[in-house]
Amino acid sequence: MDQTLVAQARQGDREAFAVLVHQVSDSLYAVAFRILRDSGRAEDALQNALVLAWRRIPRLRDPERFEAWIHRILVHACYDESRRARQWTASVRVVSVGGHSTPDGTHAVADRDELERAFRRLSVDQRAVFVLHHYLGLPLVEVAELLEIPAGTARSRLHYAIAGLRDALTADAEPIAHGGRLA
Amino acid sequence: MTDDRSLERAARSWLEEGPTRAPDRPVEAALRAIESTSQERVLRIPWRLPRMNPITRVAGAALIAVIAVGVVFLAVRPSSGVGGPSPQPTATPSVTVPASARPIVEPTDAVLVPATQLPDPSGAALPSDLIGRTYRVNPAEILNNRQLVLTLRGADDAHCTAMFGGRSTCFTVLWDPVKVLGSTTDPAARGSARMVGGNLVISMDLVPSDLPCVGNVATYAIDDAGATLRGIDPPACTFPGFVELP
Repeated sequence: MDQTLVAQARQGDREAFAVLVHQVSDSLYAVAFRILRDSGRAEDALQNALVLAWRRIPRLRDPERFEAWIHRILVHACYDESRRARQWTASVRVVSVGGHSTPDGTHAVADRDELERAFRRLSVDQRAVFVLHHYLGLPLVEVAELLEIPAGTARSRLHYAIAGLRDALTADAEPIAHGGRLA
Repeated sequence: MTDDRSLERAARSWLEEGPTRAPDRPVEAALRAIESTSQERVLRIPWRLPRMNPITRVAGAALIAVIAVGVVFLAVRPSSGVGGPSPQPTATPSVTVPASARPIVEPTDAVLVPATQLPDPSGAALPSDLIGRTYRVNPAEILNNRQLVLTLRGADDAHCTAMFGGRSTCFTVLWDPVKVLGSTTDPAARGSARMVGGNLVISMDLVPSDLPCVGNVATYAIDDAGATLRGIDPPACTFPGFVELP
C-alpha cells in the first residue's frame, strides 16, 4: 500500500483516496460477503465502510496500518448490516432434506449447503474472526489487533465458531443417523 | 472425521469459493458520496510535551491536581448556600448533559426528551425571520442519497419544548430523508439555538450517536440576510457552515 497516497488522503485528497479504494475494495468486498453471506448486504457494508473511512481517515495515526484499519471499519459495517438484517428477518430453522449417507458427518462436512447453513448460525463476531483467520490468513494475534479485542477473545470466538459449526453439522446429521426421520 | 482440523480444512476450502472482486456499484456509489462528504477534523493534542524538564513536569502535575480538586469541590458542594445569592447563568451556552440523558433512542427525526431538564442557555431567542428556515450542511454531507439538514426551530416547536420546556429556541441537524436504522454514521444533533452578539450560537446538547460531541458549541455569522451561516472557527464535532435550502 502506497503510504504517500494514504498521507494525501488524510489531507483531504479525494483522488488519492479513490486510488486506495480501488486497491482495497476487492478484498473488502470478499471479506464482507463471507461474513454476511449475502451479496446485497455485503455491497451496502462496503459502501458504508468506504464513506466512513473517508470521513475518519484524518484520525488514522499510522499510515502503514491503513489496510488493517479499513478492514476494521468494514467489519464494524458488517456488524451494523447484520444487526439491521436481524430486525427484519425472522429466525428460520432450516431443515435438512437429504444428502446424508453416513452418520459420522464426513459427507456433511463436504456438503457446501450444510456448511452454508451451519455458518449462518454463528454469531457475526464469530464469523468475522473465522473469516479473517481462515480466509485472509491472518494469525489470531493480528485478528485481535485488527478487531481491537484481546487475543484471548479472538481465540475464544474462533473456538466457539468451530464448535458451533461442528454442532450445527452434527445436528443436521443426527435425524438421519437415528432412523432417517427429518427433524 | 468431523474432527476440528478436517472441519476447518473443509470450511476454508468452502470460504475460498465466494466472490473475489467487488462489484462496481457500491464502489462508484461510495466515491460519488465522498465527493460531497467532508472529513472529520482531528484535534492534534500531543500526548507529552517534548523536552519537558522535571520541574515543569511536577508543576504541571500539581496544576492539574489543583484543577481536579477544584472541579470535584464545585461538583459536590450544595447547589445554593444559606442566605447566599442564587447562582447566575454562565456566559457560555455550553451545557453538560447528565449521563442518564444520553443515548435514548436510535437517532431519527423523533423528538428526544432528556432524562433531566437541560439548563437554560444564555443569549437571546432567535429572531422570527430565522425560525423555520432549513439549511444544508456546507460542504454538503450526503450518504446513500440522504443529506444533513439544519432546521432552526421556535421555542414552541416540539423539539425545543422537549429539551427546554418552551423556554428556548433550538435547532436540529438530521438526515433528510430520515436515516435508516442501524446506519453507521449519524451525527444527528439537537440543542439550543441562540443569538449572541449578533451571531447564531448552537450548542450540541443531544448527540445520541456521538457522545464525545455533546457540549460542543459553534458560532455562525449570519450572511446574505440569513441565507448563509458561516462558521466562526467551529470546533470539531460541529459543522463548518450552512446554506439555506430553496
